[in-house]
Amino acid sequence: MMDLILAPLAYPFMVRALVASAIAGIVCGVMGSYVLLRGMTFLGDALAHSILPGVAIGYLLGKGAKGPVLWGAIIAAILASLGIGALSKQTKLREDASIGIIFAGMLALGVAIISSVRNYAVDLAHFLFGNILAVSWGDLALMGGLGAAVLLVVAAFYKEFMVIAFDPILASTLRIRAELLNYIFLVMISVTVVVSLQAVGVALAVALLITPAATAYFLAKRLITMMALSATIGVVSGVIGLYLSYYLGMASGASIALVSTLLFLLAFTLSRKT
Amino acid sequence: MMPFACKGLEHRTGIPVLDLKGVTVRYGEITALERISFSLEKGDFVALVGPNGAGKSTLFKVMAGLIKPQEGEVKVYGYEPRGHICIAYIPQRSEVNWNFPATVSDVVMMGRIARLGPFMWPRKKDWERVHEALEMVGLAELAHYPIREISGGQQQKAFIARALAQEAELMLLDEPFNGLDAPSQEEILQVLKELKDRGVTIIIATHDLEMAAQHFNLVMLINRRLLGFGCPEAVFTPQLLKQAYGGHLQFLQTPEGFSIVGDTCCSQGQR
Repeated sequence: MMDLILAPLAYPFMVRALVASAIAGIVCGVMGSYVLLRGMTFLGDALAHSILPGVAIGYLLGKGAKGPVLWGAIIAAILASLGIGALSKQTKLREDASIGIIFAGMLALGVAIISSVRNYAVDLAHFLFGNILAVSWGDLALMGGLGAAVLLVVAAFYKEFMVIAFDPILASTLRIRAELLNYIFLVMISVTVVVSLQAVGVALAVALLITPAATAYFLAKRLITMMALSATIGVVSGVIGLYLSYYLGMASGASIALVSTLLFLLAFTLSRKT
Repeated sequence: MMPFACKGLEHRTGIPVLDLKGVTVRYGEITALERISFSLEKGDFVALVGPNGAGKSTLFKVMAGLIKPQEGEVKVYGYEPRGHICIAYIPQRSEVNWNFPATVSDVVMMGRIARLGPFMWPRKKDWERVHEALEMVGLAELAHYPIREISGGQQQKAFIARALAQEAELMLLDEPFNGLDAPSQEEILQVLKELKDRGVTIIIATHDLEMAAQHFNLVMLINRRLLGFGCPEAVFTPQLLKQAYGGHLQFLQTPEGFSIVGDTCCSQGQR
């Protein structure tokens, strides 16, 4: 048994992958709790997909360096969220329609860019479903830094984000600057998606963002416990998923997402019985 | 009881707590409120009545600083309401995410967060305030229960406790008695009367004209315009009620005054 756990750790790429999935699990777990409680799952999913053209352009301009990829992702996510906001405000379309339109358009643009560039060895599947075994130490440092930045903002505005999610009217009578915080929140979601990009990719980002948070929601009665549980479940999904992928030869992003789904179903079944 | 200290704006003394002058609110073509003017003194206890669509919720939102009127002005302690954090607006129950993972005391603590800066977690003093507030509304034993698991009346009391923890000096309650049984209504009324005696100014929107007449020293009757404001005997006259409710109200004239038989106001459905 011990051997089964230790054997993969002989490979540095597995160690880096485990650290990467733990970082992604924690950041997604915490942010996902807010996203879930605010009923913004669809927006989170859309933003995750919308960063694809930014990632692709960043990758091309930076010749594979991570900095431009990150900035491309954040700029694309901000453009997408501004586009969604403007579209719902200026037309009579409901917000979900605006989200759907922008999301599909941005995703198509990303796929178009990646598929038309033949001269660079890049696999669309890596962006869509993650490529955690290729994480470098430099990537890890960047993920750690970004994750820490998101958690710091959460620590700073934990209460404010909580009130906005629970009772927006109270937030405005307490003169909380909800509009500003909402923009900050969108940027935080995009950074979170970038952090989890190599672990699960844009298509499965929701598996780390929402599924662990939903699992924790069944089990927790306070927001702070929900966040802690959700982060733990995210880490556990990442680690178990990686081991499964190592031993069964499955794509890592998919096995991480499957484990988080299984944990959800388990918690759901248990909570029904009590 | 010490007067409440209020962070945000200083309060001018010797002027009305709340002062509205010519407030008009329109939603597109529809006029929701038209030239509403009145002022309230500290400790006034007011029932706001009027048919559905009369603009009661809009009036609350204007007073709380959530909407800016197109015409007229609102002053709370002499300043625009938007700068104040001492106004508590308790909206109708449906406007809150009731499945939120929070305990009763977490919800009450939310009233204090404007007093804590970023990164600041509640201090001992804040939890004491929360506890006092829960004691006052009789929810101390349920402090650690999830908010989603307590009854409607208890949730309403938790919101009043939250307003107390906020140290609100002006409380606006929109239909707090909706869907509550008579004992819960009675308990909440008692708590509100105690608050009034401490100098909190309270306005409650209600459909229950009988209750408004029995328990409040002031009633305000609106139907887009302010039709009457004063003691119940002066406002609940057949003439003014007819003006507000049209043919939708039935009442009986009795030797002591009158009693309302039925308020069938809920059929109009306009905003």
